[in-house]
Amino acid sequence: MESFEVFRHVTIGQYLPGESLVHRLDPRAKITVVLLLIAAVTFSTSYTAHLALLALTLGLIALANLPVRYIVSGVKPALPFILLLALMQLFVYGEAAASAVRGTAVLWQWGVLRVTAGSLRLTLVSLARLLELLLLVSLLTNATPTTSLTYGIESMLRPFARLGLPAHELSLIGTIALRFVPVLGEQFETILKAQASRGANLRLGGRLQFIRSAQQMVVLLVPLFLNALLRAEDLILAMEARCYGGGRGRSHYVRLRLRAPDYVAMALALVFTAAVLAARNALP
Amino acid sequence: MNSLLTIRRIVVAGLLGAITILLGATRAGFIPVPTPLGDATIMHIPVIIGGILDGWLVGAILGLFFGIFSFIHATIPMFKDPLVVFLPRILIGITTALAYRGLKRSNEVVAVIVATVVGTLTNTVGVLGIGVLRGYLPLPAAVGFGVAAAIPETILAAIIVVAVVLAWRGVAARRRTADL
Amino acid sequence: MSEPFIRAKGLQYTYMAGTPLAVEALKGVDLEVWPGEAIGLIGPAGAGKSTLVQHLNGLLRPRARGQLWIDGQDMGDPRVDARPLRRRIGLAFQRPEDQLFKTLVGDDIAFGPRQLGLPREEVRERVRWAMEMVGLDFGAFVDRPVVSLSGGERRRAAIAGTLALRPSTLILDEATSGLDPGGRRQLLDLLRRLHQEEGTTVILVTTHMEDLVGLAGRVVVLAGGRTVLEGSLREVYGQADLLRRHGLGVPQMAEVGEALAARGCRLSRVPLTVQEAEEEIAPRLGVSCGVV
Ligand SMILES: Nc1ncnc2c1ncn2[C@@H]1O[C@H](COP(=O)(O)OP(=O)(O)O)[C@@H](O)[C@H]1O
Ligand SMILES: [Mg+2]
Repeated sequence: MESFEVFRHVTIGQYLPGESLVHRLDPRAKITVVLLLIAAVTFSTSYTAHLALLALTLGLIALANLPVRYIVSGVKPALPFILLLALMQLFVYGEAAASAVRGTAVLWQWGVLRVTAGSLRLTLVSLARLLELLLLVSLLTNATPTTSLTYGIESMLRPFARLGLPAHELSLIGTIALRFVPVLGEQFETILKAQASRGANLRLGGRLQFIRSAQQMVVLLVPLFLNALLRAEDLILAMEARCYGGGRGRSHYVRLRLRAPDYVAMALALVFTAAVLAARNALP
Repeated sequence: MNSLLTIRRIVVAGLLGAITILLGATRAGFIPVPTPLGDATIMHIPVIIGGILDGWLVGAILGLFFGIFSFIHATIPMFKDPLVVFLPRILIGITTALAYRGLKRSNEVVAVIVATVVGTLTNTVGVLGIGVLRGYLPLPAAVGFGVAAAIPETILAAIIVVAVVLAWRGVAARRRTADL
Repeated sequence: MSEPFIRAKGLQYTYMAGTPLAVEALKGVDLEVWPGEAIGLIGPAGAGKSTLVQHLNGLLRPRARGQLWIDGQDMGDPRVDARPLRRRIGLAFQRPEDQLFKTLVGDDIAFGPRQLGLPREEVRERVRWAMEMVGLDFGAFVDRPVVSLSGGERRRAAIAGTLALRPSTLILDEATSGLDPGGRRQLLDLLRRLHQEEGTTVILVTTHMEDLVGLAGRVVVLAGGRTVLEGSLREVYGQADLLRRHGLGVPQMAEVGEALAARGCRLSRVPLTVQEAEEEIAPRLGVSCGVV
């Protein structure tokens, strides 16, 4: 049976209101913590580090009272790709992986298929990374309203504004993008429905099978782009009608202030990341 | 108000950025092909459309979005190298915009197609070229992967970009009339 | 009587089920539609009207609870293929923008017939016919880009795209909104013609109850995801209090009847049109107006 709720699984950018400690942290503190942890995720290849990271991110998600199942459902549509990739990494790239990551020992071999300690590590670490990044990005965007995210990014970029970086404008672009992800996701479903309701054969049986045929992709993506451009036009008019004049000289309704919990959170993240990175070649 | 980042550019970059996130977050924008590089992509399409419609800055910002997603999804060391991941993607927007601007006086349709080809090739050649320079893969392999990826990526991008840009501009396409 | 063409019993539907963003759009809908019937579906915004009609051509399917049969097929059964049904049951979406996905008007209207695999000539004929039916001039509009159309023209183009499938059942979701009074009358005339002359089953979703006069034999009222009232136009309009409680308006003529009743002047029936009101009221005024 076809399902049109393809982008139900896009959990990024979807604010879920709440009262948790994580929700109440200053957006700048949250951004800093998440960036530090992303650095740890990106540059660690040891099992120990990733176990610790998984435990930590899951703990933070629990602390924020966010539903893990909902967040993890975000990878569902991509699951076939992820598995395909994992299998290729595990069996085919033994040689490359062995040199890239520590571990040349051959664990299993059958014809050209070969699993080395390195390829096993690469596969498992890749999967862990995917999960950790998803949890971290969700932690930030699901527990922070978009407006306060914008203020956070903007105020963090402000030091660079003196060098001519348009901090306010860039953070506004980021906010608009995040805010319209669910909107365009729904629009995409509507396009699927519109075509199906006029007799199109969309073969939506499996997940994301629609990308199979290039022709189908064209028929679906062209209206999506045009719709986004139409919405842009409406938004431009609305902003101009309200005499939107950019960030300069504008007073914020939200005054950001870092409090004790913010400093504690950033300090802990810094210590954790530093420790993981310092020991990254020593840990098993 | 920043004179380069006008309201129009901010909003268009934001909305095309939303499509990039949508394609990137679901991984619908990365199509797995069985080479060690992993994916063929359609993530360059919003970048090219932004570059053509609203100039190099919008293109460059959208390239950055694209780069962030490749970085996040990267599974091999080459794509954890910021130079490989970000520089070519940001350049896509800039080369596309320049190619389009240079040619649009002569013929809109040709300009759009050439700009799309230039943008797609910037990505393929840029990523693989920097990959070779940084020693992640040997040149012959890079050429092989490059040809295998560039052909479908270019064709698909050209079809979509031409359809979108011409419809948006209301300019006469190859055919100005419904196919009836 | 024969079997109902569509039968829903306790139909439920939840968007984004299993996520924190779940919305229970349908909580219990009972509905029967017989072949060749014309019914009106009314209800306040957010009542679940659009969700319901998307079930009626198989776009949405019952999941956990509630049942839906269309043309004898159990839509809750995942093995049932909804695609052939969709070609016989045309649905015009609430927002025409959502439905027009091709670049040029002619190509968009031709999408359905092309999916049916019709020969080129016939596709062209269908497009011409459908455009004529909705009052879009073929020559002037067939090559127009969709983005250049006005709101009313988009509405017509979207309906033409649905008509071009020549469906035996036609569902229109708030199709009269966005049209000027002339366009609205024209569309309602068209529906009446399709219903009476070609025997098309018509389901019209609307918030303007006046639209249903002279078309719908039966009205179903939806509120809060449930069917709350069902009956002939006159029966439903007789329940002005209940309609108001659910945030619905009442046709002006029915209100006139109500106001007169409040003054102790009970009419013999709820007037639906100006003419009916006149017929009811004039004799009581004791004047001869030349009508009747
Ligand atoms: N695609 C969707 N995703 C999530 N919720 C939706 C969606 N479409 C409609 N809803 C919600 O379902 C409820 C019923 O909506 P709808 O069927 O459109 O009502 P109506 O057409 O009567 O105005 C509303 O609360 C609406 O917000
Ligand atoms: Mg509706």
